[in-house]
Amino acid sequence: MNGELKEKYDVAVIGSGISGLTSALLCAKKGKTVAVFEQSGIIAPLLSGFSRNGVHFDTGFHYSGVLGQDEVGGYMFRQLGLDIAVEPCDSDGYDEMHLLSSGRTFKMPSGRARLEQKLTEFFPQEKEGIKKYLDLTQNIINGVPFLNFHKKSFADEELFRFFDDKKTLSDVLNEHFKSEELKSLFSFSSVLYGTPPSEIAFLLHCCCSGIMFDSAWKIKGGMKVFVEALKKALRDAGVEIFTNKKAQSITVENADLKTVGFADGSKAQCRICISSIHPKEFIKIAPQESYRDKNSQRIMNMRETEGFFALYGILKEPLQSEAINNAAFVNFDDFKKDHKDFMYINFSGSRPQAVCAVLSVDSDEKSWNLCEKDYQEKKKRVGEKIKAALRLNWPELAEKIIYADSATPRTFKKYVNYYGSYGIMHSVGQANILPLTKIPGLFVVGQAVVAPGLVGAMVSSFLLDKMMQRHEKGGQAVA
Amino acid sequence: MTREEIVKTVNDALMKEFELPEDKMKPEANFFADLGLDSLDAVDMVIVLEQAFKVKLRANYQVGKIITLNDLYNYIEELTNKN
Repeated sequence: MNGELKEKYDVAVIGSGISGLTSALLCAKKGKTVAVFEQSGIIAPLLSGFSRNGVHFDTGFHYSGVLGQDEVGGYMFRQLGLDIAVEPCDSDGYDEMHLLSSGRTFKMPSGRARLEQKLTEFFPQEKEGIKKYLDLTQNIINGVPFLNFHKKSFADEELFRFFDDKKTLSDVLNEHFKSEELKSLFSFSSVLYGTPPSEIAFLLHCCCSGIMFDSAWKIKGGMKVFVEALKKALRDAGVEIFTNKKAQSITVENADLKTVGFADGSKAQCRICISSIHPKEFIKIAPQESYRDKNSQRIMNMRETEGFFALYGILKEPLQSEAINNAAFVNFDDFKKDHKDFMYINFSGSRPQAVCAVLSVDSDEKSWNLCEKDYQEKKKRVGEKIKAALRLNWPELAEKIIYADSATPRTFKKYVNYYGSYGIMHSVGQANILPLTKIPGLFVVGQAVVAPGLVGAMVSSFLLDKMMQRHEKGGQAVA
Repeated sequence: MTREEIVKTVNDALMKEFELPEDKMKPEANFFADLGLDSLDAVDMVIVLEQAFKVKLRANYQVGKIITLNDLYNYIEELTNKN
């Protein structure tokens, strides 16, 4: 993929995750010369997934809300010129929740009215709270800039959360409901952004999980198709991509000239530099004056989201409930336990079906950066724990699955440079990072900036793009 | 506390913490666009104001609506009058 490195680019993007590639495409579409630098051997290593025995496994993305035509996801795909087909997950039950304490199975239906009706059938005594809770979620989703910037205009300071929002998901669930089982049901999706209910801002929860109440979408053909579409769009836009190119330093000559130095000794000059790597990795290579010292320290001390231990397998034959997309086992006290050791299972739309059973685990480096022998033992032990849980709670699945491989937070670290599954945690006690640094023309995008996940990461690039455009028009020195 | 005292205390605290020049401290100044502060700076802003006014700002949801210096003066005036 690597061509000749030019002496100077308008824009250098560090990191080729989804936010880096989104920023690259947005800049290239405005006629700027753009180069992307990726430390690993392939672009979008997390989204690209892997194959075993001829079956493809997705590792970075499985399903999300707001990918419909008129929604922010569909809008972003169009703007980037990505030729991607999305399809709704099973509208009768995109999440199949096995409520272990009451022996019931709750299939999450798409659409507000159906969801309200079904929840009320399961939890009749919570009728009023359910309505209020769904109304509240809907109001937040309808108003928050990051899901609505394609529909209306927002001021710069509205686009990003300048101050923390202090209300947590736990606060709101406790205000609305008595049933612990219902609270567990509403909060299990906190594993989809890796932050416990007692720490995630309710607003962020709505933006990442509440968006699926309307409908849940997946990419037709899986993320392999998505990454191919990205590659084509990048080629068409003339973006130059360099893999095995680890950025080691960023130096600022003046407002219009920055130099990125690489581990192989080469250098590239640029006017604008956009970092899409983990903020802690960015601090290590960025000029000291990018942030006030206190803030550099603050970023270095930020907590990571939970990690994932993923067990991958192939189904010998389909399950009885064939349309299944996602499943989880829910105990009534999972909410109280902040969904610690929570497990969920994703099923691909392909045949044979790829299955990914994910257990939420500690993402602390100390837990996974072990000597090889201890690490292999731990990997085996946690894998066996997941298999045992499947045998116990879902014998039909356990009988039909052939295990193919597993991944620990250390495996993910190899590709994305961090242990936590979603990078820096968006918790109420932690300020979020803005795309601007103190250096004009040096920017940060990614999951830490707006919200975790595919949509959150892409939106961070779109919002930066909006801000850059405004400032270029206004003649200010931001870009 | 009078309005003037509040304005002076806020401005002094912010100018010191963020090394801001006095001529930028206009009531209509936007923290983000005019003063160049970001969400990480906002954490320190809350800390220095709490020290200066001996009030708790963090637990209050209203904080999210403060965009200009004037918003901040109003908010602190309201808080200190309550106490």
